[in-house]
Amino acid sequence: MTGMAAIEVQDLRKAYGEVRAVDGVTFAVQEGEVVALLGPNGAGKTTAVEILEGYRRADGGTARVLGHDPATGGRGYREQIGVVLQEAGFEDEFSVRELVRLQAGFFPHPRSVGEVIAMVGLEEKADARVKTLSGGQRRRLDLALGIVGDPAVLFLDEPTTGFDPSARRKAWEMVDRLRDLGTTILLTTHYMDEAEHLADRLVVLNRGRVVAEGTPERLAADAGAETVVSFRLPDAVAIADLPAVGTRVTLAGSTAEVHSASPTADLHVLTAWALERGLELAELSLARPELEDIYLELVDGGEGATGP
Amino acid sequence: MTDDLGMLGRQVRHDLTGIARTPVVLFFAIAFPLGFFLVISSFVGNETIDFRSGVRVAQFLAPAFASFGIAMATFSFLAIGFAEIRFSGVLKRFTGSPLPTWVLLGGRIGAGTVLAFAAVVLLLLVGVLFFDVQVLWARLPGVVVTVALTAVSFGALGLVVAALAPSMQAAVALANGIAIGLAFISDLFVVAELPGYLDTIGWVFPLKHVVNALGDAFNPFVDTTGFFPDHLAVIAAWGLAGALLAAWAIRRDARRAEAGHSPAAAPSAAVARRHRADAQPRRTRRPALAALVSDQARHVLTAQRRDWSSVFFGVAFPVLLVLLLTTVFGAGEGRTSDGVLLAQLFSATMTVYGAAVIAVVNLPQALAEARQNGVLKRWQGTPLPVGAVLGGQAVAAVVLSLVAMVLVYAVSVAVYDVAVPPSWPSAVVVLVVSALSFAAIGMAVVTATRSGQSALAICLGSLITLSFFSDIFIVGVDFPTWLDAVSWFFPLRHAVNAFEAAMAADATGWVLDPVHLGVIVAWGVLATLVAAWRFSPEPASRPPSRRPPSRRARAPKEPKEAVAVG
Repeated sequence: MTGMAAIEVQDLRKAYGEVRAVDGVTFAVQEGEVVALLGPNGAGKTTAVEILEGYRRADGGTARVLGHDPATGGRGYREQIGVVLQEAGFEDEFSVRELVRLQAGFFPHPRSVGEVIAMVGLEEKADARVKTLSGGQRRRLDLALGIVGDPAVLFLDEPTTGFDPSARRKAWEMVDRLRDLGTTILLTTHYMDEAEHLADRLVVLNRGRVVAEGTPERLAADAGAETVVSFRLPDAVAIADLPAVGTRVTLAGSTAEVHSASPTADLHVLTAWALERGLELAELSLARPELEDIYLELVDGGEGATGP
Repeated sequence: MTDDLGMLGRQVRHDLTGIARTPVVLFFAIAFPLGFFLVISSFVGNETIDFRSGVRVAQFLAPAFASFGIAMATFSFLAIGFAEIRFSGVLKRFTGSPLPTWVLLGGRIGAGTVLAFAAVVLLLLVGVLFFDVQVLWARLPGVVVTVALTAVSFGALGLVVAALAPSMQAAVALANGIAIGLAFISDLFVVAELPGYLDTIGWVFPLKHVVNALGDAFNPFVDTTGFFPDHLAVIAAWGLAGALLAAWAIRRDARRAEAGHSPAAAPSAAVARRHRADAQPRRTRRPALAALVSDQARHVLTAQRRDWSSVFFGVAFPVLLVLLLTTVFGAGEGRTSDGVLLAQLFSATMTVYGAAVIAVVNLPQALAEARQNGVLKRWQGTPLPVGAVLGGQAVAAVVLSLVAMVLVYAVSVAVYDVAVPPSWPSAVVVLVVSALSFAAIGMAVVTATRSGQSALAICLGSLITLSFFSDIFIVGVDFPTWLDAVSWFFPLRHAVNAFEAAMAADATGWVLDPVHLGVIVAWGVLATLVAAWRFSPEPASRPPSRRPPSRRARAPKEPKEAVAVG
């Protein structure tokens, strides 16, 4: 990614009493980039995001969004951002359209009310009272209220929690569309597939600190995660008979698993060895490291999980 | 069967725990009747009627307010509490469990009965300790039976309201409206003689029978065992009818739930026009503050219009009170000792009372609720200035107060020939200034509370208490000097008197008392400063990790708390 940093966070700190919720966090989000903040519950994601949204003041460090200090940016700052909170209620006696219309009235350059309702897929519920909406529909209204001001930077705090698979797909398409329109997006999520699908880059937080940062591929490499080459061990062949490949070879039932940091070379050696002996490597497959495994390794590996 | 009874016992205990943790229920069932009793007894209750036996007026007030307590603890509690579990989906969860329906309902009624006995005992205890109320022990069995039968009957009737109400707010408005409305024609609030037809209507309903059964049981001058078969029969008949109707309504509700939602109606032409406007962005520059305030005010007004209980207590209730009080005292012809038509007087006091309920109770409660469920926090993340939110509240308070004034006078002019004097513009000025000041006070109170419920309890509690000493419900009473001084410290009495003077039948020109207005404005300015200094879109700063789990946010509806105004 090139361009200016839309969000810049330097050594950000925030404590609640003894608990250091955010403990020296540094990261940046370029203009037009989509970045996901990952981490277990209590890792400091929401605190960090709420400082950037202007809800909380940092104890230390600096945060700048679009050149503003969120704590003092005031109205001019909030005209340029959109916020989808993790949890906020509605006035249930109003319809979807009425609430979107009211919210649009706060901004200098709002999107049209109809467009926003269509973007989140609530056309059929546009004139229904909020109290008749399902949990997923309420969340979509949350999204609608977040984007109606046509923000340059959008904060999404766990945007798809509680969505069914198809609603999640639609929310992702909406985020993709916003990205195409040039919106900078910082989102937090628990879902690895969501982070992988939506984000250009991931920032993994644990216990208030950044424990990893980069593209999913980069994270895998940094974490030393390895590709696994697996195949059914041919009859009358023992593990010890295999050529020296990978960092280690394990046996799961009759399936051999070769953990490899350089899968191309290792695969070449393995298949050459098999051809030489006229052996067929049944069920030969190659598995890329799962982001979820890398993530669990990152947050559980070092110090253990911080619990839900 | 014993298993079922055990289950019932556990259900009663569960519901009692719920009651104990809901201050607003305790307030209306126990503190509210007790407060009424204390206030009225303090004025008139200590007068000795019979020197040989030492019987005082409180002897007759205690059973009346005990009856009111039973009604609040059973009828209102069940109507509101059961509507709450009906509309929040808790009922659905229960009906999906093996819990028999009669145990669920029995648990509620049982808890209401316990609450009713608690209210009665506490009230009598205060009566005995402070006002020499005599308990006639031989009649106690009759009293206990009457209270128990009434509690169960009223409980069943409360279920009817809960099961038939179209919304939570409607249940609140209906329950309190029926209870308080009936109280006026059931020998409860009003001791003067009622016109014949109101007397007859009163006897049709069960509350008057309860008041009279308990009243006679405590009346040392009546020769009785304490059992009144005729009264008990009427109470039981209403209870039985209520139980049958409730059972039918609850089954109908379940069948409707199976049938699913009804489709939304097609939008009207006007609505469709506004919808077309939604196809375009609203503007391309920063909205003016005035536009934001007016949007907010419109938003608040729409919310209030859709909230039955707000409309009822802020606007309709004052009109009703004018009708009732004026009819009860002299059938519309009554005059004060100064010769002022009571209808003229009550039209003025009730207009100000309506403005106070709107600005100090309804709007602050809605604001505190919006803060509690995160609506204000979401707005905080937008360019909307906090001042526009608070300004919108104030403007809405003024608009609603003027609506209340127009309605009250439209009715009292038509029904009682009340005069609208040439000085009415002064009254409008007084009302606008008062509404603004009250709204500021309401917002200042919200800054000091955490939940909509506590805002309601504080605002409503202080307003009703103050109303008794501020020439609203009771006029022409000589207060003790200290109480008089206290009441003139607060703005309510000034607002009532300033408005009354401007709307007096013979008033002309500008009738604006600088002292009254000065006090009202001073309170408003002070409250505005407090609100500006302390107002926060979040109840109190807590770390996000300690917030309640998110399932609360997905509940279909945060139920409105009970709102009752006496």
